[in-house]
Amino acid sequence: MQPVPEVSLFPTCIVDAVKPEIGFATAHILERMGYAVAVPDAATCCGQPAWNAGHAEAAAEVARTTLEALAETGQEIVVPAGSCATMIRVFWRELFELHGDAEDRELVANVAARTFELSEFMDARGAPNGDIDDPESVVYHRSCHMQRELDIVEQPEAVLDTYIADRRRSASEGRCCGFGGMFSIKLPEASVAMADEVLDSLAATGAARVVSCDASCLMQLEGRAARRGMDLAFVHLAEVADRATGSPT
Amino acid sequence: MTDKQQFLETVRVALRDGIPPNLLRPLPDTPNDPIEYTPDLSDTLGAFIRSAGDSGAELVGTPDEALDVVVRRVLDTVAPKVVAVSNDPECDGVAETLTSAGIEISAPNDIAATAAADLGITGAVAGIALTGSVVVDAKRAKGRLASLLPKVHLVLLSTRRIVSTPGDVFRKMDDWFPDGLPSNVVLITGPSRSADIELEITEGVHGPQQLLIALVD
Amino acid sequence: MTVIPIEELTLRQRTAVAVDEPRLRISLERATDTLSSRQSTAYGQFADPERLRSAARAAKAQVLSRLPDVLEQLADRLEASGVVVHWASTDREACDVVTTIAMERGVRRVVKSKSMLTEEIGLNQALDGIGVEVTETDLGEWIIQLAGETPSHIIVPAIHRDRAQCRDALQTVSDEPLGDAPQDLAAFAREALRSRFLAADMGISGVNFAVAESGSLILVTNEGNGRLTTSVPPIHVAMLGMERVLESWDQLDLFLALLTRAATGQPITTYVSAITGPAQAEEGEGPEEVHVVIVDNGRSEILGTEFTEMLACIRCGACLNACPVYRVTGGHAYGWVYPGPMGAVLTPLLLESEAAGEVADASSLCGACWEACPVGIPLQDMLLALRRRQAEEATLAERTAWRVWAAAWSRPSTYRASLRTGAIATGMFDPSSLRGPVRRWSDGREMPKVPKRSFRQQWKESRQ
Repeated sequence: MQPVPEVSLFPTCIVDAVKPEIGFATAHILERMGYAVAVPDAATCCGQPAWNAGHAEAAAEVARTTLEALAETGQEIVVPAGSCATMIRVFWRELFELHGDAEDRELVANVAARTFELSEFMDARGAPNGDIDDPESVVYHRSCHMQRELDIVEQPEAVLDTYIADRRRSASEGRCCGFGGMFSIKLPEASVAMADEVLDSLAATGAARVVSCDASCLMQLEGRAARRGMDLAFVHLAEVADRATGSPT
Repeated sequence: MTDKQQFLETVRVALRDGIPPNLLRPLPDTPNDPIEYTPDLSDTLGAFIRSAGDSGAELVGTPDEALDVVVRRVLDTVAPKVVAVSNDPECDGVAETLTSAGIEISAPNDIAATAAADLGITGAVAGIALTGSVVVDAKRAKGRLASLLPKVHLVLLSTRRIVSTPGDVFRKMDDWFPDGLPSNVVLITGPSRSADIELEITEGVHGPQQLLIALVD
Repeated sequence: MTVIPIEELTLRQRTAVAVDEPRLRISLERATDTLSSRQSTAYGQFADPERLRSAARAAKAQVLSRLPDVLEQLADRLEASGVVVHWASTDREACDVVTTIAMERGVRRVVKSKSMLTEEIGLNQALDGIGVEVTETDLGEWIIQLAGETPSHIIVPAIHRDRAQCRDALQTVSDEPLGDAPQDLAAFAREALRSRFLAADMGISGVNFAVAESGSLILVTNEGNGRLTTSVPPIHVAMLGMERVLESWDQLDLFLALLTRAATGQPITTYVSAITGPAQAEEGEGPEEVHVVIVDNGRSEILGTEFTEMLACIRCGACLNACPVYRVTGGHAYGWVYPGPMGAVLTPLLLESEAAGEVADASSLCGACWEACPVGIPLQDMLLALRRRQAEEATLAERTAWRVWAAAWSRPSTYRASLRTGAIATGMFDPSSLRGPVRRWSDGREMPKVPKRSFRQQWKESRQ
C-alpha cells in the first residue's frame, strides 16, 4: 500500500493570528487531495512586514528561522497566501543576498523550488471534487504579488469555477486593495481611498462574496467594507473550496 | 561653468565600477530588430489611405486626376485669399494654377506673410502606411512654415514614396537623406490636436486645423 | 487647487488633502482609465509587445553603460551641424547658461514648449528674474502657468483641472467671457498664443530623444507648439537631460513606437520633428542659432548605482496611469516636479531632504507601474531599495521597534507568546515609530477580529 504523501502547511503570520479558519480550511483541502498535513512548528513569518518597510536586516532575522524550518521539512510546502509565497519564491533571494551567506542562499533555492501558493497547488495536483450547489455569487480579487510576481492568475479562477456557478468579474480586476503592509497605516487616507475604489468595483458586480488568496487583502477590504456598512462577505479561496468539498470544522 | 571634459569625466567616474547587476530582474539581451506590426500593410497604398483617414487627414485627390483639377477643388472648398507654396518638386505648376485663379501667393520665407496665409501647400519626401504620416523635409521644401502656420495644409504625396512603417524611414535615414539631414524633418500625422482638457481631443490647436492629402503619381 | 509644497506639509498630509477632493478624484479617474486603456489598445498594433519592451530595456542599458562615449559623439555631431553645446552640472548652471544667452542676445520674450527638465531646474523663475517674459505654449502648461500651479501629470499637466477649472485659468487672459467647451478653449489658445510665437526672441524646448549618430533632437508633440517654438524665433535653446540620448536612428524607431503608444495610446503623435542644427542656407526658414544645454543635475549620481535603470525612463507617464496610489492622490501630492511612481523614485534621488526621501513611501508596491512601463523599469524594486536606504536613517525608536519584533518573531516560542498576548494587532505593525497605528487603521476601517487562540494553538490541540 502506498504511503500517504505528506505536505507541509506554512500558515503565515496573518492566518496564524487573525484568520485561523483559513489554516484549517487549507488543511482540509490538502487532506481531501490525499495528503497528510504537517505544520512545521518553527516556521513563524516570512519577514515581509519588515522587508516592505525597508528594514531588511530585521526581515532576514525572522525569515531565516522560517527558512530553516521549511528547509528541514524536506517536503513540498503549501502557503495559503500569495504575498508570502512571493516572498519565499522571489524576494528571499535578494533578502539573503543582502543579509545572508551562501548557505542561506542554497537553502533558499531549495525551499523556493518546493513552495506553492494554495490555488496553484490545487490546480496543478487536482483540486478535490465538490458540488457546484453553491449558488452564492462570488467575485475574485486578484492580489498584486501573486499576479505580477508569480504570474498566478488563471489557477485561482479555474479552481473557483469548479465550485462556484456564478463567478462575476470586476471592472478593476487586478487593482491593488491598498494594503501594502505598512503603507496601510503610513498613508491611511490613500490606503482607504484605494480600498474604496476596489470595493466600489467589486460591489458593482452584484456579487455576494469577495474571494481572495491573500488574508491581508481580505482584512483591508473587509475592514473598510464593514465601516461603510456594505453588504459584502469576504472569504479566502480555501474557505470556499473547503465548504464545497466537505463540512468545515 | 562646467566644460565638456569635466562633465564627461564626472560621468566616467560614475561608471568606473560598471553598473551593478540586477539579481531579481536580470537585463535581457533582446536585439532591436525591425518592429513587427499586426495590421496588414501588404496593400501599402490602401493601408496609407485608411490610416491617414483614421488620423483625421482628408484625402482630396487621387493620382489619376490632374494636379490642377485637384488644386482647384481645394481652392473651391477652402476659399483662401493667400496661399503659401513650398519648393517641393510635387508643387511644380501649383503656383501657375493659383495665379490663374487669381489667388495671391505669399512671399517665400516671409514669416508674417506665411502666417497670414489661409492655406499652405507642400510636397512630402515620404508617406508611411502604418500611421498615415507624411514626411516633410525643410531643405527639399525650402522652408518649414508652409506646413505649419496656415490653418489648412495641403500635402501632395507621391504614391511611389509611400512605405509601410516608420522603421522603413528611420532605419534607412542614410538612403532617404544621402546628402545629410536638413535642419528639420517632420513626420506629420493628421491635423494638430490636444487632449489637455479632460482628455477630450480637440483638433486645430497651434498647427494646422486641417490636413488635406492629394495623392499624386 | 493650490500647490502643496513639499517642505511645508508631510506626504501624509498632502495625500490626505488630495483624496478628499471630489472634483480631483473624478478628473483622475477619467484620466487614468482613459490613458491606460488607450495604451493597451495601441499596443495591439505590436505583434510582440513584450519583446519590444525587452529590446528597449536592453538598448537603454547599453546606452547608459556607454554614456560618456555616446554624449561625446552627440556633442561632436551637434557641433558639426552648427549647434552650440553647453554642459551644465547643476540646475543653477543650466539656468545661468540660458539667462546668459538671453542677456547677450537682448532677449525680452520667450516661448516655451513643454519640458519637465525646465521645471526641475526652475528655469522660468530664473528668466523672470532677469525680466524676460516667458510664455508656456503647450495648452496644459499654459493653463497651469496662468493658475500658478505645477504640472500634476507628465503628459497632461492640467489633468487635475476639469473643463470649468481650465476655463477659469484661461479667463484671466481673455477680455471676452469664455465657455468651457475644450474645442473653444483650444481655439482661444491658438489665437492668443499665435502672436506670442511670432513676437518671441527665443524658443525654449525640451528634447524627447537626442540621436547621437547624427546629432539630431527629436520632439514628439501633438499641438504644433513644439514646431512653432523651434522654428519661428531666431534662437532655439533645447534643454537636454544627459540620459535622454540614443545611439542610433534604429533605436529611435523602437523608442518612438513605444513612447507614443504608452503615453497617449497613439500610433504616432501629430508631429515628430527631427532637428539637426540651425536653418541651412538653402532652407530659408528656421532659427539662426540653436543651443543645446546638456544637464546633469544629479543624474551622474544615479548612474552606476542600483538605481541606474531609472535613467532609462522616457517620460511617457504610463506608470502614473497604472498606479492605484496616483489614481487617488493625483500628482501634486508627490510634492515636486515628477509625480507617480517615476516621481516617487526620482524625487528622493534628485533632491536631498527628508521630505524628498519620504516620497518613496507613496506606494503599496503593487508592481502595476513595472507592468505598464514600456522600458520594463522595475520601479517597485527601486522604491523598496530607497526604503532600505531610508531605514538606515530611521529614528532610534523605529529601528528599535523592528529589532524587538525581529527578536520576538525569530524564535518560535516568543512568536507564539506574542500571538497569545493578542499583541498581534499592533505587533504586525511597527508599534513605536508611528503614533497611533491602531487609530490610523481604525479611522477608516473596522479592526480585524483577533481570535483568542492562534491557528497554531488550535492545530496543536486538535492533533492531541
